[in-house]
Amino acid sequence: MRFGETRDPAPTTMEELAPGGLLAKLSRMDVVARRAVRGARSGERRSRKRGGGLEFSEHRDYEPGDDLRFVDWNVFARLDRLVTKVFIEEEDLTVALLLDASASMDWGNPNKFLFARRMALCLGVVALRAGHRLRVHGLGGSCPPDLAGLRGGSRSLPLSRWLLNARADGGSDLAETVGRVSGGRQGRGVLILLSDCLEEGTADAVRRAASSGWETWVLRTLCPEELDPGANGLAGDLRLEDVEQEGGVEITVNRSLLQAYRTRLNADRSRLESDVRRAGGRLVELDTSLDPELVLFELLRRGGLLR
Amino acid sequence: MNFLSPIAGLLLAAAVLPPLLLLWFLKLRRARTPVSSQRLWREAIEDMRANAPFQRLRWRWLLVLQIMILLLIALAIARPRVQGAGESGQRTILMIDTSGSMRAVDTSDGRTRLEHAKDIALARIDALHGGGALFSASGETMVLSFSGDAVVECRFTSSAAELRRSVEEITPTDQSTRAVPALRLARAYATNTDPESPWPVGGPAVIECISDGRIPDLADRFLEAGESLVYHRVGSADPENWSFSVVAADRDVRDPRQVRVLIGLVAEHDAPDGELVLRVDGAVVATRAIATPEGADDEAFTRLDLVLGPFTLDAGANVEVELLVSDANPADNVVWLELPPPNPLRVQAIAPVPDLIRFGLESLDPASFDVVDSPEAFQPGYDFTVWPAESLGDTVLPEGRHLVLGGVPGGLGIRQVNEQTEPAVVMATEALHPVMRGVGVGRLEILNAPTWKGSRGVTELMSGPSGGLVFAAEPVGRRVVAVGFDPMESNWPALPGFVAFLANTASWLAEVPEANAFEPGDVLRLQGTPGTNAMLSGPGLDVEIPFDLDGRGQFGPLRTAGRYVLQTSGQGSVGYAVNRTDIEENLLGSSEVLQLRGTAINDEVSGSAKKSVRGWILLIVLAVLVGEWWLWRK
Repeated sequence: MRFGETRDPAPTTMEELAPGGLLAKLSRMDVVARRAVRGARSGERRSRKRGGGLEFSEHRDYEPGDDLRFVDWNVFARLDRLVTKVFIEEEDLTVALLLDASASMDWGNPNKFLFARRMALCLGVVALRAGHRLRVHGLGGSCPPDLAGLRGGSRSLPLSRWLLNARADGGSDLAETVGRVSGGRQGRGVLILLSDCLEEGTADAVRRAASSGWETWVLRTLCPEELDPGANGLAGDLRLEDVEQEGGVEITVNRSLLQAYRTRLNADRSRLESDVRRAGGRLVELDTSLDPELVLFELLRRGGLLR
Repeated sequence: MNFLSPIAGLLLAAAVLPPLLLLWFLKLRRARTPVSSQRLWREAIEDMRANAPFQRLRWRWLLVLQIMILLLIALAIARPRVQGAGESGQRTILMIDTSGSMRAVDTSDGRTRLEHAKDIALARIDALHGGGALFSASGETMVLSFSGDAVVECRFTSSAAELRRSVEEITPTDQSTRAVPALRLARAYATNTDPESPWPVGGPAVIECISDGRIPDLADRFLEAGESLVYHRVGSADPENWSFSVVAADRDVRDPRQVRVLIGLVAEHDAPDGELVLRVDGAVVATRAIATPEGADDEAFTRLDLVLGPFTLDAGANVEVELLVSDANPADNVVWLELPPPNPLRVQAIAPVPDLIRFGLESLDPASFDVVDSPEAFQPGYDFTVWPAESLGDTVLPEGRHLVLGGVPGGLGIRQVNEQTEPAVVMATEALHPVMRGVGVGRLEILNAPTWKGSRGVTELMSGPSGGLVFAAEPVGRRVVAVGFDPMESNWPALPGFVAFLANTASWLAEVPEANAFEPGDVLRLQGTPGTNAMLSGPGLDVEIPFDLDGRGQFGPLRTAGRYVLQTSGQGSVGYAVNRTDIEENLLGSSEVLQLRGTAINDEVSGSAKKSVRGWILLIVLAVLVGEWWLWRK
């Protein structure tokens, strides 16, 4: 078994993709949108559009033609002034899952692509059960056609089928794909990018999505072999060959080189988080060796993506 | 551990290690390993190169293993040897020193050096030919003993019993140490063991020398290419010992019945006090206490010269001088002399003999003083002949002993520097020469002195302002004292020193060499009745000597010192003294190294048995190679 080579077999069923009744534990969760967003139609999310919703927003002076049902008679009684109650109209939330399917994702133990698909399934199921509209896009690789307009818990099946059929392969142009996906006419919402972010362009992709009104989350998926290669079997005189690019780099693994790698990795993590934040997004780093429940119920909840 | 070929190993290591490092860097085989991204690695390497330009020289197991393999191979080529048995198939020559110094007893067990040497040889034989299933050897061993000459005690054989028997039968000698004949013999056997074949058989043998290391003739010998010489040392470095360096007897010229015995002693380190006993025909004549001279403690050895006597001895006698002392080598504490009967002085002179010179010669009280008229009337058989200047002419001196007054005849290696004569005084004398001993020349004035110059081998006894005045020369068959000026044209005959000069000259010219004095290693050349046999007896020896038709016989080389007696049927008995007076041999300090020209061979632990570990090293090399292959595959 070579360094980083995946031992786990590819999943073939939804149960294998989300084992241990993981999906059942997500029933009370929801995706959090920090900002009010405009959906295509009314839903369970408040909208910037004020009007016929149930949630009070503010008062404004009465104007002729306003619905008299919304006049606040209590204020009139105290202030002898007609004011109208303005309500936030509740609209549906669009959740877009962007899955990096480049070859670099199909690596590590546990496999990064498997872990990303597992997270995508969980987040998608949460969104569908919460009544949000769900879109699923693959970045690079050999993925089935994009899914759009999924809504309702019953749509979990096509979602899982799509994820089970997705294959990581080749490269991906992250910024362009995210720009294309986020710039569509469909409703704005929460865009969740699942990627290892080993290629340049993550911050640019976030910037494009944010400029189109998406609240963007980057779930950076890294495996133990990337986080600590020395402790996970990398040793000797090696020629490292990139799974996505031509050429290689010759190394002799020793303490100094591993230290230099760790320094570079930490710098890369700090820089990426800073860039994503400046671009208007949020970044959460996920170690594929972590328990998915821990990721969902602790990391993502504490990070503010789920509640 | 030591090495038989250390230079070869060092050369190999120096030759192959740098290319290995170079090839390593040029052709390092790296395992191809896919990774998700090489971006971070590339950046890390750039950081490393910026901070550590020599990171290529960091620890790499494969390189370390390869270097280890090469070093082990170099080590194997250097032929290391450790305690153990011999190498399989190896041929070994054991050279055992049997010289006089090996008789020393300088260990607490009371055994001689030779006995210790034999123990070492036996241990080596056991190691080389004993062994068990693991270390049994198929090699052959040969035993040589050496002192003055070399003796093959046992030819190449693999029989341990035969080898042991030959070693046990080795006996000591009193000869001086000469290892070159033994080395030559060993080399001949080392390269060719088949007398039927003109070509060398097999590779060179390992020569193991068991000795106290006092081998002066090895110092100008080289080790030959591929030759292996191992030194096993015996004896201590600082033994306390007395030995003889000189023994001689001297009869007085005026009264030949009076005998003095001259003794030279050598005290090595802090030799104990003792007593010197002089016996004549078995009877004690004189004794003398001896002690190491004061202030000589720090010296390796000191000399002590003694004169015993005079005592009266009318006839020939056997003289024995024994040192009664408890020192390191009892075998060198006694010497002998065969003193001939007194020989009254007989002088011949060629006329005309000046009166003053005649008076001087007659004052020596010779038994006979005969004057002949001319050189043609010269008669042999005199102790010496006096040649005045007028009698010389172009005469070449016949064989014999001569005193020449007033000129220098030809054939002596002395030439005249110029024809002119001039007044002269003596500027220098050779005061240590027996002829000039006690001869005062301070007031000597010469009216007409020619100037002479002696060639090499001629001793200038007296020198004037321009050259030599008096010479002593010993060309073949002659012994001559030549006074280059006419004494009658000087005031010398009127001075007391002239009589002393004549007396010394008569003593030196009439001196009889110790005809029957020999050293161990000499060949005893004997004279007897032609065609008969005579019995020669000596220390532990009785042997019949045959004489040829010329009456000549011989025995030797003599192995041991002592008094030898030849008993002939018609001429009675004749004694021969064989004394060990070689200082180099009598000094006993054992040497830590065997010094050859350009090489000093260190002593190995006495009695040790050495085994080549080359096979084991090559086995380790194989194991390391397997380990490297496993790492490489991994």
